[in-house]
Amino acid sequence: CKDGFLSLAPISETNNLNFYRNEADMLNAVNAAYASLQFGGVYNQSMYAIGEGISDNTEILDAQSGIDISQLDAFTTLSNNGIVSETWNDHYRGILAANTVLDRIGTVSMNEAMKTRFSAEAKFLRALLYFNLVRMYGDVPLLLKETTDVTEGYTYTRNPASEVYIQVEKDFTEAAQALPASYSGADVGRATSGAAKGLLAKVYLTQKKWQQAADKTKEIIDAGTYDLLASYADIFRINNKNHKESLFEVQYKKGGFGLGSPFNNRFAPRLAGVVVTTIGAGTGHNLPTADMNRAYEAQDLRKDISIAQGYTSGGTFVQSPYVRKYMDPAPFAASDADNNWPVLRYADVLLMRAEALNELSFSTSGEALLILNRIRKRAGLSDKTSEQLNSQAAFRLAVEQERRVELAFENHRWFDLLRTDRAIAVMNSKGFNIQSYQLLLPIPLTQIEINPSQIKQNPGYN
Amino acid sequence: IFFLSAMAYAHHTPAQELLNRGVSLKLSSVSLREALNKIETNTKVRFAYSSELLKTTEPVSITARNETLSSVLDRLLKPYDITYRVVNSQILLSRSKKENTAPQPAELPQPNAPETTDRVIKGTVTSNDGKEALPGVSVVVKGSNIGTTTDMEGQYELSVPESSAILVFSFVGYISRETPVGNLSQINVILQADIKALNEVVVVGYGTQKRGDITGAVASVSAKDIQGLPTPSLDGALTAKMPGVYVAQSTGTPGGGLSVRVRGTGSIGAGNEPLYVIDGFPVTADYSQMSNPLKALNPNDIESIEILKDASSTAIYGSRGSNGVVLVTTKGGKAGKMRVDIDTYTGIQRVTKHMDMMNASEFAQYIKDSRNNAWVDVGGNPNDPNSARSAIYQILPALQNPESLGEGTDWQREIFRQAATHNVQLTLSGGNENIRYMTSGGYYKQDGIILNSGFERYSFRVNLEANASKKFKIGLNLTPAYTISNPTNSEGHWADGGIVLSALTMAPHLPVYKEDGTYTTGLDLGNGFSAIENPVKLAKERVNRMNELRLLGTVYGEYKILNNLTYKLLLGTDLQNSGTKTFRPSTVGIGGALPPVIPSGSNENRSSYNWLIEHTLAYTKSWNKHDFNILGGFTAQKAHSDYALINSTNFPNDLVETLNAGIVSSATTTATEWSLLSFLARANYSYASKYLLTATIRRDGSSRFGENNKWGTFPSVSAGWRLSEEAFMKDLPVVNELKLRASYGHTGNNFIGNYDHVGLIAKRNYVFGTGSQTVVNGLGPNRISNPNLSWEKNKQMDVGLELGLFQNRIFLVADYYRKITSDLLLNVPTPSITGYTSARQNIGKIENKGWEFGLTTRNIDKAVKWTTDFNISFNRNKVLSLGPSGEPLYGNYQLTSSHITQIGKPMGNFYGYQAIGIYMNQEQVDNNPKFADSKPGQLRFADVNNDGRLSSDDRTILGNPQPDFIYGMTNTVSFKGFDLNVLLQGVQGNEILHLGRRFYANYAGTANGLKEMTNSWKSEQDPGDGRTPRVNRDLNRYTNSNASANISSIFVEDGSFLRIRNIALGYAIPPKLLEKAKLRTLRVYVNLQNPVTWTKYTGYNPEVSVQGAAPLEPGVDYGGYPIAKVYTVGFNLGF
Repeated sequence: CKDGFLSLAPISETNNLNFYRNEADMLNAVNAAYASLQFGGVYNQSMYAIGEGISDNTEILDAQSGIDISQLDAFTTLSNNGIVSETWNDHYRGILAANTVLDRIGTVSMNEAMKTRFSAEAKFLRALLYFNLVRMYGDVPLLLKETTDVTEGYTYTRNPASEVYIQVEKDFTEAAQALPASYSGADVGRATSGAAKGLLAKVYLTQKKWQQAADKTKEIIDAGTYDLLASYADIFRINNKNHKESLFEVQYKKGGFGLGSPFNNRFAPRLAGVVVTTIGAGTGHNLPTADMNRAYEAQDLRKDISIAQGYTSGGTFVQSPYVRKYMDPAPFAASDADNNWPVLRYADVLLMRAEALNELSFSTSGEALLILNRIRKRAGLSDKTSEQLNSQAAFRLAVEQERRVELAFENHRWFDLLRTDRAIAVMNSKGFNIQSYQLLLPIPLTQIEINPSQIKQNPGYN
Repeated sequence: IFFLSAMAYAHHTPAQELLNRGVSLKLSSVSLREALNKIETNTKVRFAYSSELLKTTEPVSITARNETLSSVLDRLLKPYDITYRVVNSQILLSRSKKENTAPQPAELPQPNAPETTDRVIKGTVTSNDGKEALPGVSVVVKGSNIGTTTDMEGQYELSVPESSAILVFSFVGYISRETPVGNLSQINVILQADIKALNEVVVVGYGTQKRGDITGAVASVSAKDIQGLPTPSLDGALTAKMPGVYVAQSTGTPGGGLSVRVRGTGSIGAGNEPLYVIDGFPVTADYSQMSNPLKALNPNDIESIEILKDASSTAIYGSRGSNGVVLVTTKGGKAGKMRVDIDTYTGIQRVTKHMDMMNASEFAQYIKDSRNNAWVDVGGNPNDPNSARSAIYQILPALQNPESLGEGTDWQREIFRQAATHNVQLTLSGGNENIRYMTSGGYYKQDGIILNSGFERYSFRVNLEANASKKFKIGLNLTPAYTISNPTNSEGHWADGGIVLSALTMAPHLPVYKEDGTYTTGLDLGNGFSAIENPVKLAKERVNRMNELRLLGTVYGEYKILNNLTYKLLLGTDLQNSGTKTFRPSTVGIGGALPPVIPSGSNENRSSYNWLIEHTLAYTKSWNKHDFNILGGFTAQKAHSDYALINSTNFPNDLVETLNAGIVSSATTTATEWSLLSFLARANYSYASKYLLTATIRRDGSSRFGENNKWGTFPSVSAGWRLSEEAFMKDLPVVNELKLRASYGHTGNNFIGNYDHVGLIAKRNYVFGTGSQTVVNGLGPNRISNPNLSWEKNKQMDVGLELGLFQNRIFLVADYYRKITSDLLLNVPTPSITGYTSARQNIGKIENKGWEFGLTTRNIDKAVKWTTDFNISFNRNKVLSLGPSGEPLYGNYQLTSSHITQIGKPMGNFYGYQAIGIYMNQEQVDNNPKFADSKPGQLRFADVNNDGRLSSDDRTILGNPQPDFIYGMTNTVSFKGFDLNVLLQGVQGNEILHLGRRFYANYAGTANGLKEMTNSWKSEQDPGDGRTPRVNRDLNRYTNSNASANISSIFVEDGSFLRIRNIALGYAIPPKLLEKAKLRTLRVYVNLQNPVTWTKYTGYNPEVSVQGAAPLEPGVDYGGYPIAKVYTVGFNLGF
């Protein structure tokens, strides 16, 4: 009686003593790893704050929209910046979820095919999260197993970025081999082999492994699984999720489940009231810069699909550009809309191939130019000619420009500038006098303070 | 001795019950006085007698075995012609009437004294309330041997030689009085019972003890000290009354909690509030600034409060004892005819202080300057029109002519009001020898000084005690109470609708209402302005109402198995049900969105039951001069709470506020439990009341701790030596009491979450599928498990001295203590690469040590009486070790690393940059350490690490919220029926992090602010006061030096204060007048609470602490609800 009286287990929470027993538990554990993608420190905020906000694509107009995000936008980021630490923490929370699946699944008695798939999904997610981390922070600690004792946490130091890339390639490669090419019904939206290959191609491209990038993209193209949608607008329509052009999306569903996408409110101008959002206030994040507004060619069909120039309030039009790609005309509640987030789509894969081919050897009228014009054609633009793109350098800039407008506000711009070593030149030309240390984020101050002997700051930051 | 319930001593016991108590003793050849002392100890009765009465007696011998007290007394006293009767629960001894009819000087020890019969003085001596005659009181002419004693009616008659004589009235158990004879022939005297008398009975854990026998550190407050204080809860009554007990009123929220600290702060992560034990029931009192856990208890029902401070007294509460224990005993009935008491007061409250904010024209100038300065910095011309400027540099048209705006709206005046408070209580008490009752009903209402806030309580009480038979006694305490509070979300960030911060920052050029009668709003001022909603609207239009129904009940039965062996069973329960309803109408903007917004509402419900069962067995044994008693017990306690929250939104309009009108957007329910099993024992031994020894032990098993650490043992030992009882001290008559005591013991702290040791898996659902997709269940790791989790261990040493001089005219209690808290229950921030940002661990060690002094002096003890109680406490807090790496712990209140807790320093230091002035010119910027974005007019910080530049490494400790010392002083003066009581409270040497300044002194032109900002740096030639930086709208360009993004010393202020906490002036109508009106008592009084505070602190209230702040983030002022001055008048009427 005595011990029973004192052994009280949580009533309203699952605890880890009686979990990870069977296939159903492991499925829940894998799903939880996917759910990490919706953390504020991953795709719900950090990835656009860093992928777009830092870059010349978007800006923050007033402090009301958040000091942390303003710092990122203005290159005045301090090491105590809240987004910097949330990004770090949430990526590692996701990595823990993936590692837990990989550590625990071995001893679970379950269908072997499912075991293989679950492991591959976990590897895919782990690789994606580490790929984000290494691009944002440089060297990062590489944890590949579930932490069961917190003291283990103090023993890890930052691994060189090269080691992280090796692991990311390994995970994506293994995932690409084990994952199915597609899913049906209720499983649509899970990681596919195509998604793993596409992201692997991006990992190669980021490391300037041009040949591997070209090969991997070709593999995807040749498989014929994916294609460009005829209409650019269809890519973002909320009733057209996980379409043929999509390799991987973060899935959202509105309806009060806590699983809706927040971008409808995040990207709406702060003073627009509910005119833009339908429900709830706008946060004024990720507002297109004037420079971005000018970046589109005159006939580009993509501009109006991507950017709204303002809103009408009280009968008058208020000039206040905002990102339109993720607007849901009928959200369930504030920050509870239905838009998925495109992590990787086929247009990106095509442009990656064009870029890799151009880097391998410039050709005035090769496949690279065909790809570029294929993308432009859908946008209603005329072909670039080989006279216009008469050098490798010119073609590079054309791809950069095309990527900017084609993939606008999809969290690629800053990483593209970093990858192509163009960040300093481009940002300086836009009036930001940035220095090379600012190409990486600071390591969160709290993490250095907790474990100062192992975790050191990136140079240039305090 | 300790078998009897706490109630038995706190209440007046009927005469027959006292006299029927069983006595077993065997005494041979002891003085009568010693025999009586022994009986006092064994039967817990108190004798009162004149010192002369026993002087002539010879040694006595007596043997009794479970004989009634009356029979023993008859045998003992008859031979000396001493008679006895029960008055006020005391047994009064006096000469038998036949000898006393004509008081004779012959009774005096020296019958040969000269007999001069110049004048005869007559009079009556009565006790406390003037109602009870006191027989046997010694009346002596001072400095002579002339004297007599009072008769059974309390009357005396004495011949006095000269008019300059002074009569001394003395009686054991009462405070002596001296009265000059003058030319009076009638002198009536009221004697006050000596509250500091050492035979005072004190409630201790699971029993009672005589004050003189206590070897631990225990402080007490009695009903008298609480009476009439306009405080809704008992913690307010403890303020500044006792050494070592720091009570801070950190919020003025009606019904809000006070923070109580006994001997410093020993815990970082497990709570620092003491354990409250109400009539034997340990209640879970999770401190909350919004809602006081003790608010359901009417302070007027309280008979006494004891605070157990050292380990000797708290170890009996084991794993819950280390923050000190507050024992609350409620009033009981007295045998006799029914007493009816009506207590009522009514009063008004006003905010103690207004802050000095800018008026409309100053505000407009400030806004203009901040934008022009920023515009100039980006290359603009201050004369450029708005059309030439980008949004944040534009100046609102309404603010372009500051001079024309005048005073504008004083938003503080708009949200504060003069608020009423009322209290009325009816108490009925009485009973007979077999059953006593006390029952009360009270209504308390306090309007808050902020519009629309308030607190109401309906409280009831039934206390019963009955002797079912000679051996069997039962008792019951039942307290139902219903409270309604309306805190109106006054505190907190303006962005969350905090009314106080909104009022301080709202633009003063806006009126409260537009011409059409609708509210203005600050949300539409545009880019560059903080989105602040109209605070009057926030106060009036939102609904935030909490109600709580609480039933606290205990019932006990006590059975005398043998005469010296008693078994007691106590059952108790604490049932609570509370709900919070909120509604935010469409008219109140939220999150920066302009109204109309979609209304939303919520309904939160908590219900809990907490039950206790307690078996105790007590045994007592006395032989010769040895007294021995022992207590053993077993208790089990368990609590279960349910929680439900429903949110609703999309209300079509503001007409119906209940959730059915909207669409339920979310709903959740959770439940949680804890349990505790305990074994406890205590042994007391005393030899001749001279050498005292106490040992206790408790063994607790708790559901809150890890599998490897479910059980813990908490022992303590203490010893006392009453030197004043030694023969050699008799030569020092000046010293009537001198006791040395020392104690050491172990206690614990278990105030953490119920399942903190269990690793948790959290719901992390996701979405897959085609079309409208499907929600799939996800469960992911959320908290790491820790099977070794255990309680905080507290080891405390205490040495104390109690010294009474001149018959306790001066009484000093001094204590030195040192307590070490180790294995702190800490949510340690962990490397987040593990996937966990923190983990609950037992880590670190903190020391609190200090001195405490309590001094009571009876300065004047004549017709005018003046008593002073003074206490002062010095606590020193130091962190001895921390975390696995020993690295500092940081608190993050609003801003990252706002506080630092590091080894060798006190807990919770403020942390940031040390401002050393303003850069007066570019030259100073160039030639001094700086940030990359530093420029003239900005704050200049100290280069703490001397590396020639400014960086986050230059952050340093800026101050500490813990005071050097705290003190309190109560002066009580009485004259005839008047009584005056003045309570002072002081706190010295602490700092406050005045973080609200990041809004109202941010120099950024985002909102209104303090008038002091008009002294800002404008140019090298016009540098203002040299401390206030240049105002500049572009704060984001200067992340390092802007005043709202970083903690710096400009937020840190001296928090020392001295406050007149309370002044009470009362007048008791003389008994003679009352008799005519058939009244027993009538006292009228006025009371002033918080009339004056002396402090340098610039915020509202130096007793700050923000709502929801973690223990690592103490001492922050961030828009708290200011406290009020309260003026009340009231009366107590008894018949």
